[in-house]
Amino acid sequence: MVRDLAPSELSADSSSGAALPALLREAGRQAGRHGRVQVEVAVHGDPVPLPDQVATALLRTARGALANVTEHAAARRATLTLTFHAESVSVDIRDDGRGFDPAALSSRPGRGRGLAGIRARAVALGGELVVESAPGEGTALAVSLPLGPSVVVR
Amino acid sequence: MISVVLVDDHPVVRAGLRALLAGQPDLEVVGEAAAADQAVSVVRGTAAAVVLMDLNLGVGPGGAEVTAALRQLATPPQVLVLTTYDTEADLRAAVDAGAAGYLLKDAPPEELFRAVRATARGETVLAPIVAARLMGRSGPSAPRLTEREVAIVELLARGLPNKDLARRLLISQATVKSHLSHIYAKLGVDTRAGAVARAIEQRIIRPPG
Repeated sequence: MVRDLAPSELSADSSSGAALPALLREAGRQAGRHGRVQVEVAVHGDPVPLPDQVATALLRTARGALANVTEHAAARRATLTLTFHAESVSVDIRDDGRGFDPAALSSRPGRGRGLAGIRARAVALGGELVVESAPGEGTALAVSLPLGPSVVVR
Repeated sequence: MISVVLVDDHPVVRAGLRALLAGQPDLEVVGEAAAADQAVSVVRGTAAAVVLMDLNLGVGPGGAEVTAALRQLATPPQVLVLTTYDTEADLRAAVDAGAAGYLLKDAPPEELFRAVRATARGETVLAPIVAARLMGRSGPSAPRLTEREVAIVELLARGLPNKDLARRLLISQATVKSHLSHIYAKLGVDTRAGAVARAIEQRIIRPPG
């Protein structure tokens, strides 16, 4: 079972939806500095305060995905998009790097561990992880999580 | 006598307007322009009272920008936007730029003459459908798409498949599909073609091409 402690910056944000976008922008900036990849962060829809677990999952997904980008992708640009809908919220990380074959990943024990953790966190919150990639075509990773009474925490 | 300057990048349209207005004893066309810089110098030179402004002027600054520039003149004219198919965003741009009024080109000539006179008097002229939309009442079921959703429908209208949509917007195809289901729900449709048709009908996007 995956346990997450909510970063204190997120727990403190009870009155607005601004904390998560700001933390994502910071994560983007850091990845850009360390990985020599240009990271852009975009927010769409109306930001709302999110349950701690949801915000934490999205933030860790973004950080994990950005780590993968800087380590494996050989990308020049990555775009991190946070999208708010009425009943769900999602984060996409898309890079223009070398891409990979998602089917090949599961057969290599050392790699892909980051994705398994991200997927487990998403599923535990009633959401899902999608990985879209192909050699030479960059990579897009998206986690979407439901909001509201339909959130099921297993 | 109300002096009028015509600003439209189509010579045939300017000629037609000139001929129409020539039949009105109290309206006189004192100048014409096909583009932004011409418009400002012609209006300044003629000190016209009313400018009939098309919003789309081909290459270069559009009608909203020109309107803003004209309103900065020492004796600014009243600008009546006279244009074809336009979206709500265009409408707001024109009004924000200081246009006194907004008429669609499918208005009958009598309405055009009335509008020019009213504009010269400093009155706001808005075609009823346009007024309703500005006040947020654009019809019984007015779908409100977000900026992102409008961008997606514009790309749908160009026939792009999901993979290209995702690449263009720098997101995953999964998120594209999520946007599409929200768009379909808001527009009351269940196909891409339906979404495009409805969006055009509701003037959320222009017809492509």
